[in-house]
Amino acid sequence: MSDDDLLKRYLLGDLPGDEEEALERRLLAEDGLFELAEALEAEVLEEYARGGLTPAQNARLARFLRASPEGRVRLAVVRGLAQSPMSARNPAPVNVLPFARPVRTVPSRLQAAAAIAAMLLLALGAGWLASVQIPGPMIAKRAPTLAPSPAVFLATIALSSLRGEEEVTAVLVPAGTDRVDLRLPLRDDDGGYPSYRVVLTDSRGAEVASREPLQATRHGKGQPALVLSVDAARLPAGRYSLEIQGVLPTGEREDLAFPEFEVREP
Amino acid sequence: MKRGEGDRSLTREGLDALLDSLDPDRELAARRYEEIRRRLIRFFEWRGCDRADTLTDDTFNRVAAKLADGLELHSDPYAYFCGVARLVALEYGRKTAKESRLLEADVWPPPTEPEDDADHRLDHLRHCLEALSPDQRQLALRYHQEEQRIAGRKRLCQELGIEMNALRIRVHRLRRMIETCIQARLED
Repeated sequence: MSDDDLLKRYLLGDLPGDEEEALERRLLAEDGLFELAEALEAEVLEEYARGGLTPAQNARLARFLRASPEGRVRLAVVRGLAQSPMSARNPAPVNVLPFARPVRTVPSRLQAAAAIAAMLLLALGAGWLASVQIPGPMIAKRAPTLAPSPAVFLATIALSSLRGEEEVTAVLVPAGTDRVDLRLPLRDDDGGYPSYRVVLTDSRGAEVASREPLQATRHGKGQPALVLSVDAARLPAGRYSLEIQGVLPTGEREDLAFPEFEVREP
Repeated sequence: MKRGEGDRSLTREGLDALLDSLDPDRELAARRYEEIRRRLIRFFEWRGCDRADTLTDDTFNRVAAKLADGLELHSDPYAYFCGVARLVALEYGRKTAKESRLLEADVWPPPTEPEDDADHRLDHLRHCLEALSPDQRQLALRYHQEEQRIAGRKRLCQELGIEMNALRIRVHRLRRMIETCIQARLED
């Protein structure tokens, strides 16, 4: 039996007495073996966290975790690394996974101003500008520079609007637009989810477009944002609602915002 | 003066003798003490003892008492600590034999893992991950976030050109850095 198999059985309390004693003597004498045992302990904790151990093994681990603050930190680290919203593919620092958080009220002017700044930077590069002003009606304007191909209109919708509030973004979609990209800059506390769900409905409540899972994107050091692309033909003049939710690793969703906007004739 | 079985509290002379046995330099002795203590706690935890820190202190106190009474160690004191720790573990095992029989009979209630301050620790985890270098952070996250754990970790081994146990230890050292960082933040 290899050392790692032997150690795993030892850590789970499954080793016969004489083998356990022999291994303990080695463990206390061999630095490398001791460190390997510590490394393998993390795998045992992983199995514990996943519910993959037998009841007796669970009970043994639970006993020492109850008595060991350090053990609980080790378990929290193993579990936290597996569930961290700071994903391995995109390890940029993001906010930690929130477990239960109330939907916030209207954000500060500062946050909205940051959204405007990030949007401006992006819009200049894309060739179209959607300007946002707060509070009150917001007007999206055509940028004065290059016309993109295909004709994509970028409209930034601040997540400041909660359902029932009067603040509505007005979006003027230029004639000849093929696609509207609704850019939704995430607020500081909303950036920590592994994925998101966005649903766009019209004034009658009919679904126009939806995306799940939707990943937040970030341009340079700018604010992370969600982008929902919608065929321009599906956005006639009228009022629309967005439902934005963060999706936890468990699949549970948390409501983030319900902004509304109005598409107007240019 | 010989101490009875019930009197194992650490005396000043016992502590001095203990530290002297580890290193003549007090600072180095203190560091060695902490390292041995950490190892002994793990040893007791792995043995399934639910009072690992108490049993570790008991081990130190017994050794300190022996040293204060004139015991001279001619080899690595760690080996002596380990011998005493094994004795302490055996005594503990005998005392809790009945409890162990119940455990083996599987009549324990389902475990409820203590989750005090769990959210707080996750918040600390984020900060401590940010303190790692990008490569270190990437490795720790990939190791734990691969959907197919075994296959994913084998891929990591191939990419890094190392064996599985070397990968385990490399990630373990990163986790230890994170744990130390979290502990420090919890104590602040």
